[in-house]
Amino acid sequence: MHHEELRELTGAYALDAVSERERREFETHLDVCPICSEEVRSLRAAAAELAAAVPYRRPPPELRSRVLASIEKSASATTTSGLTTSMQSRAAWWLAAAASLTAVAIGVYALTLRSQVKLLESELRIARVQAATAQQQLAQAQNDIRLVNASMEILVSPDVVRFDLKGRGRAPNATARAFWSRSRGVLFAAAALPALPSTEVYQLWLIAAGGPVSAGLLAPNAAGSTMMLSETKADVAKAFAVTIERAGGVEKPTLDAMVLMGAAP
Amino acid sequence: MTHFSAANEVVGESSTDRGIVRRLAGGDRSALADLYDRHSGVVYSLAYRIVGSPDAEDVVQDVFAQAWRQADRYDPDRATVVAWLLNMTRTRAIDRLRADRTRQRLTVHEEPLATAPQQQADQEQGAIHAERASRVRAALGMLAAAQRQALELAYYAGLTHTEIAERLGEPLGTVKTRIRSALLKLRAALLEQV
Repeated sequence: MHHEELRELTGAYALDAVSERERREFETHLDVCPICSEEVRSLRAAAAELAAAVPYRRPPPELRSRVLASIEKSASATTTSGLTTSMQSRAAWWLAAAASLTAVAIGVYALTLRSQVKLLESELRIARVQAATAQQQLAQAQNDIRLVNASMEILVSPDVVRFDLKGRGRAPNATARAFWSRSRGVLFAAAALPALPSTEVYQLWLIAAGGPVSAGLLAPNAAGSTMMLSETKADVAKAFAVTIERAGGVEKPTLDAMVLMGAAP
Repeated sequence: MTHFSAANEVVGESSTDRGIVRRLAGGDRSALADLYDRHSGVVYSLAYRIVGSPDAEDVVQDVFAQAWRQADRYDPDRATVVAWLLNMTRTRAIDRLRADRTRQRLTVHEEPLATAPQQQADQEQGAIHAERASRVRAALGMLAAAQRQALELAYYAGLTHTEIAERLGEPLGTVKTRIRSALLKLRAALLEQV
């Protein structure tokens, strides 16, 4: 079977829904295929979430003491386990403990080494495959760094002014803050903005001496939060406001569609 | 105008949990009581869903005993403590289910996956678990019914894809693909929620 056919098995394998023989065959393939390995890893993570979807059931109260009592008899992780309780003589017990401790310790050590080597080999293959993605992520990270630096410049600027905006209208619970520096622009953050249909968009306005100037469109995430940097320049900002406009934005704000508003302190 | 590409990570791991497992690895028995008090609910709920009572109680006991024995092997980089426990729970529960089935030829009990939040029961287990439960159920709601059924049979009923194909009277290839699509879709739906 070649890779494209085998790849269809990643889901069943991630759920342990394969026979013993299929499992072994597939694992042989995984050893040489970073694409399938990566897919299995991410599908396993998704599958693990299914554990959370069950109805909640409170365990019976007597189970607690039963569980805690059950470990009284067994050894902890710091010693070996699996000794039978039928060993009578104390001397025999100690001898057996020493012998099995060594055997188990060597066994565990060898297993650890072998699995570490396998893990490293697999990671090396995956790393090579992910090199191209890393390039992309680097570019993204560099962009993020630039944004953070630009935000910092606004926040530490000597002429920074803070505006606290309150929600109203269609976003009564929304809150927002704008940090405005005449020389650098505005850093704007908002929370609890309701989702809009695709025909509408939130637009930020800087209310300057001569009237409202658009400072850009907002793009809140699923939780209704957003952060934005805008280099809109103006001599003085009397207030900041957000309105709901048609998708794409408009030149002048629709005042009765205002959802956030905050005047200069 | 530029936007931040912030990806909000759902905070699932607690340093308290890691601390408890470290104590457990050091042989501290009171740590097991702490671990039990924090997570016996979700462990039992999953076990009960898979094998029902009274086997679920045995599974819970086995899981915490295993956690006690293997605490020194727990690797925080590979999974959260809860995921580690739930993984053990599912494995043990499915093993027990398959053994029972072979021995007693039990029929497979099919229970449709809930997609709506279950308010009252979930509130009891704490806000974090309740939130997680309703998140996963909402994501499951994005799947087709046939996909949900495939996940139900594989994850909770412990059937192999061959057994699922036989049970549904469908070709094996179809079932294989359906399981994979279901998980890919579930993953996408979960990521979209962030």
